[in-house]
Amino acid sequence: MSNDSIADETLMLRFSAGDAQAFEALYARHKGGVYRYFTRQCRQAIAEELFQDVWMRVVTTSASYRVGARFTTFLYRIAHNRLVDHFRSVGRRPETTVGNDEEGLLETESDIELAPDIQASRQELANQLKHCLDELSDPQREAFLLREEAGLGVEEIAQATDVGRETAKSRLRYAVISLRRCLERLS
Amino acid sequence: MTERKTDAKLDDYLSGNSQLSKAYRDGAEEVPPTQLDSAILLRAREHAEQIKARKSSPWWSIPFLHGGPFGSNWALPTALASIVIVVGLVVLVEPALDAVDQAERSLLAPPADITDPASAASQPGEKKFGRDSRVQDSSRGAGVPSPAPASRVAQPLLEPVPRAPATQAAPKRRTASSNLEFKLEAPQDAPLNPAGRTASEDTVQASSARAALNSLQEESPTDSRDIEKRQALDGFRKAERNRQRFDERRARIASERTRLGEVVRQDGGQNAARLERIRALIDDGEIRLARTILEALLQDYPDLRVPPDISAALSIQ
Repeated sequence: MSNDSIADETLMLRFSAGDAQAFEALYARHKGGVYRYFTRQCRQAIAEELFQDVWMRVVTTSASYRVGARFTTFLYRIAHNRLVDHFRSVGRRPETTVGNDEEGLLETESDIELAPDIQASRQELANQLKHCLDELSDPQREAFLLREEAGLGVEEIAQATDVGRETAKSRLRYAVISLRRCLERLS
Repeated sequence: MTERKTDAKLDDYLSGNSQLSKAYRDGAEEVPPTQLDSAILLRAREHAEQIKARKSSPWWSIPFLHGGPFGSNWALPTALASIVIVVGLVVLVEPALDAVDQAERSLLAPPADITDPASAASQPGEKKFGRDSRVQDSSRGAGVPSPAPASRVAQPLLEPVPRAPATQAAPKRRTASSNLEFKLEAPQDAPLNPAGRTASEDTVQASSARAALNSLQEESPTDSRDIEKRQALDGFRKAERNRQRFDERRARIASERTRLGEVVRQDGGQNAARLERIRALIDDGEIRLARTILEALLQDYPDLRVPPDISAALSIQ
């Protein structure tokens, strides 16, 4: 039976029982997402360091792993904590609000879908989106990345970032709206 | 209204088919460097090997031994050495404790008033129980501690029971090891018992005592119950003796303190040392010298109260 069709949680339990191949499968599935989660929020060198720390932590805590939630929630919670530790160590204070322009965003009847007039090529659009991501506040960017890279839902984003469901939902909502506005502006 | 619409759009985005998501996925191509992959996978394989090795390792290499303060290769030898030491201590100490226990028993012989009638009868001035005695504890020869149920057994038998007919001396229900077993015998020629009762009265009393004894034996028909009772009584008696000794010691210490305090108060403590010196001389056998010093002291301090032990030792009135 191939590891591709096995759930993350099962693979993690196998690894905790001494199956190295299970970890390789897990790593292959999630290495890109975790890596980009960090590279979108830190410099490259720092991102690599944090990325390695997260996976080392997954390895060392595998013995105590219990299936209480999705593996991705477990993984990205470690990543979130490591990122917060890094921000604290460098004196960077993650923003806790969703931004100063909340009211303006609420008044905007923005379409979350990209407008048809955005005619840029897909690659150009992707580059513009990366640029727009940099303009987001830290919590909004993190919420968006957790959604896109880890595929987490609102509830799971809340668990991973240790905030309430409504807060996570609000962050994600304003992240999407801000990105939409940014892309419209750039185009 | 606006927020509700935004929520609907958010739900649509969360469905995963929005253009925003597609745009992001188009640009999400970064992957970690291969060196990083190799380092992480190597560490994971090492960890997995450790887990496998731990699973297949023998019982004495269990994780908590390795992780704890005793976690070393010395865990097993230390455990074995501890066991040997404990066993050795038990083997060595137990005989010594037995010897101490025996010595204590010999020193602390039970007082006659709470032991069996045979020992009670051996007190001076009392009628001796022997071959012609009226009450005899048959359990003594078996080395079993005598019972102390003074209220139930010794009490009726402590009453003089002379002239009990020999035919009634042997109750039917008897066990060899029972400490509750007594032979009731009486010389036929005893005219009157110390209490001044007649032979018929004594016979009746002896019968009642025997009946009480038999009923008591019926209550404890088996040897094991007898032994349990005996052990319980022995423990009770021992505790009682220890308590009495403790009380005596405490009373003596209190009296000595009181006496010394009186001496010290009498002359500001000046004569206390002299009296102690006199007492030391008495202890050393220097009676004459002690008497001389005491007489000199009495000349200087006519009101000095001589402690009773010194006055008694020196025969001073």
